[in-house]
Amino acid sequence: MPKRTAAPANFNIDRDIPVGKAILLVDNLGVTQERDGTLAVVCVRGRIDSATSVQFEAELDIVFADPPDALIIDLTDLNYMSSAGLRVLLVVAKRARAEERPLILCNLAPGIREVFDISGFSTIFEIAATRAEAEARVRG
Amino acid sequence: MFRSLRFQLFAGLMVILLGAGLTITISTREQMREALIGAETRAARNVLGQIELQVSNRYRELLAEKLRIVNERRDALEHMGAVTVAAAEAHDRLSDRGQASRAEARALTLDFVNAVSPGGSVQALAMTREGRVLAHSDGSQKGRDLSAQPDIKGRPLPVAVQEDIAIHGHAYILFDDSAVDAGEDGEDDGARDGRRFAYFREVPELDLIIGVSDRIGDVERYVETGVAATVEVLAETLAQVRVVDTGFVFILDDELNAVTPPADWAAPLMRERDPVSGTPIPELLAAAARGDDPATLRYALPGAQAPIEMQAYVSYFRPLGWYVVSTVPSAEVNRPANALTRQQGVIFAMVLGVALMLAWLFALKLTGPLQRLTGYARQLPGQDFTRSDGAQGALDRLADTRSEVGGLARAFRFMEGELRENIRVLLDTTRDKERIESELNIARDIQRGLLPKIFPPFPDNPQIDLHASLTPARHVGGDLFDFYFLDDHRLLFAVGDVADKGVPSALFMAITKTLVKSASGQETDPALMMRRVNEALSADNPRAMFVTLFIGILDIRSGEVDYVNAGQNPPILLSTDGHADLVRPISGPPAGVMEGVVYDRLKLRLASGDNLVVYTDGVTEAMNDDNAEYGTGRLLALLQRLRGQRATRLVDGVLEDVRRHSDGALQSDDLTLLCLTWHDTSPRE
Repeated sequence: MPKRTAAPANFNIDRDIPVGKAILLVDNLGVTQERDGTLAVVCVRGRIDSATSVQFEAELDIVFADPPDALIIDLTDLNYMSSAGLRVLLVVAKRARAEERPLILCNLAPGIREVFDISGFSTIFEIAATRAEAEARVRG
Repeated sequence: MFRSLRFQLFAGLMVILLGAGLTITISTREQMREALIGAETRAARNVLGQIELQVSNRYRELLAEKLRIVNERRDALEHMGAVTVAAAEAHDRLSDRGQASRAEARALTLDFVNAVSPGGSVQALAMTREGRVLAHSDGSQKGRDLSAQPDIKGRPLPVAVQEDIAIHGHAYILFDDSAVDAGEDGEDDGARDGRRFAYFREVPELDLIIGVSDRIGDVERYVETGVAATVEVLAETLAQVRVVDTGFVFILDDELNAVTPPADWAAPLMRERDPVSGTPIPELLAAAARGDDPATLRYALPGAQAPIEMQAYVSYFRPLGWYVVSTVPSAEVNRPANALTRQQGVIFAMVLGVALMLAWLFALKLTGPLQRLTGYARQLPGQDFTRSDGAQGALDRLADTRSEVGGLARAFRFMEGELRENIRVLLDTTRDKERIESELNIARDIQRGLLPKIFPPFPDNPQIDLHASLTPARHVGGDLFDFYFLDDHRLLFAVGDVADKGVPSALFMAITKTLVKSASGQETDPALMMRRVNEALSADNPRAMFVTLFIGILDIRSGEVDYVNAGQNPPILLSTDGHADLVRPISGPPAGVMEGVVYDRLKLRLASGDNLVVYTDGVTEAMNDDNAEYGTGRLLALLQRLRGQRATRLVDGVLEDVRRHSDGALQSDDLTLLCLTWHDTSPRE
């Protein structure tokens, strides 16, 4: 479930925030973790940009607090990823590589996939088309 | 004013006082009225009762007097009768002794009767059993035949006499002898009252009935005279009797004529009709008395302006056939009650006035502290909150009271204290923020200083038309661009975008730019330059910062571009023939991602007039409020439209279009755009 930071009841966005209409009052990011034995599957939903990347990093830190043998990050419901998000993924990848835990991304939407391709990140990450394929690779 | 607490308190108290006062007034008023009216009514009735008592006493006296006279007369009649009978019996004894014959004895008796002179209105007679008058003290009546004369009960006189004598030995007979009396008496009322009262006894030996009679009219007249005197006295008395104020007592007889007159002011009462019932008022009064209980009668007496409401108490005095009426204007009966009610009203109004004044003072006292609190709250914003002491002292006395207002004052004081504390913290924070802000401003100036800022950069070089722009999302940004000649013919141009934005990116950007500069001095191949940059950035990079970087080297003689693209957005090649194409190939991942990456060296060739546009994702991913990206498609289309224009125009045109798309939305990422146009100036072969 995405965390929601409800604005106070008497808080009127239009009136009380003079500038910066794009201020995110509600988290646009949702991260859920499923554990299947020693395999962790993290599903990311929404947007990862400068504003939410800190939360994303924190959520992944929680995953690593109890380190899984392998990690699958399912990006099915991810709409947008900025360079800040890529950086967080890179941090995770480096950590996973250092600890020799396989990390596979799966279910990249075409737009996200293009970001990975353009930036050259698709050569750094292991990417599977579907979650089943990712799981098969981890277990195989 | 009407919504103020003070007024509401005051109004509330007013309503309560009014409610209580009115309830008491109204509830007691009726009882008071009834009591007072009852008293007046009793007074009127008492007058009536006294008059009635007076009348009946007088009447009883008259009756007693009448009885006494009648008895006296009867005794006289009996005495006279006894004398006459005794004479007759003496005459009879003469015949018994033979001194005279029976006829002579009878004649003697008749002579006696004829000669007797009883005096006054008394008459003596002797008659046969059949009613023939043989002798009469009034000579003119001698020889009358009384056999047809009826007594008061209608019996023939001789029959009645004999019947009563048979029973009692004598007879008292009442009969009307008006016809005879009239001629003889010559009195005015003789014809009216010729009734006589007669005492008869029989003298059987002489075959005679002796009778003595007297008129009873004068007895009746005596009573009438008494009544008349009574009436006169009553009239005088009643004229002075006042019921309540102008009320009065008067008497009507059976024929509804005034025995004693009503008061002068109410004289029309005798001939007027009650407007409501239409009945003559005397009839109404008489009707009211027919019940056993003398009821209160209400009627209206037509007056000069308006009918006067009256009430009357009537009693019927049967023996005289009198209606004794005590009547009084209703207003007078009600007057004391009304006066008392008025007085009560005045007292109530005065008490209410005083109470309301007190209520107002009370409301003032209650709301005064509130007003002081309001005044305090109003002047609060004008306080100098940077000082630790303030207007708190103003509330000390209020805060010491134990009421709710005291609580409010304490809350105010607490609030002011908290405000001072918060403002102190806020001031500290603001100072810190200002310091950071000023440092950031300095950082921005330094960062700007890192970038080339003289445009056009190469005015003496007709082959190159170059323009670039960098707009950070915050004070400082992670984007960079640079260009400089490596030697006479080779122009290096670079565009980079550090992951994320803000101060960490800015630091990384500065490092990157320096690394590029340094690497370009050591290598001629841009791929090798990139490799050096990557190695330098990747080593010891705990936060995994990275930079997408494009480095191109243009040979201004041929238009050939050697370039390396480390994850940077594909540049756009805008041909003179109208195509706008993405230059998709990339050399590898962004610099700083990992060590040991080998980048591919790529080439492209510009035709004369071709534009190469290198940009960061801040352009294509610029968003509006609906989170819609500007998009590569729109950029391509725009550049096609702007084809052929100078680099400055192209850059400005794109920036303007992006701004239009964002439509005021907060810029989410640094935005960098570099446009390079190459013109072939070599002589044609």
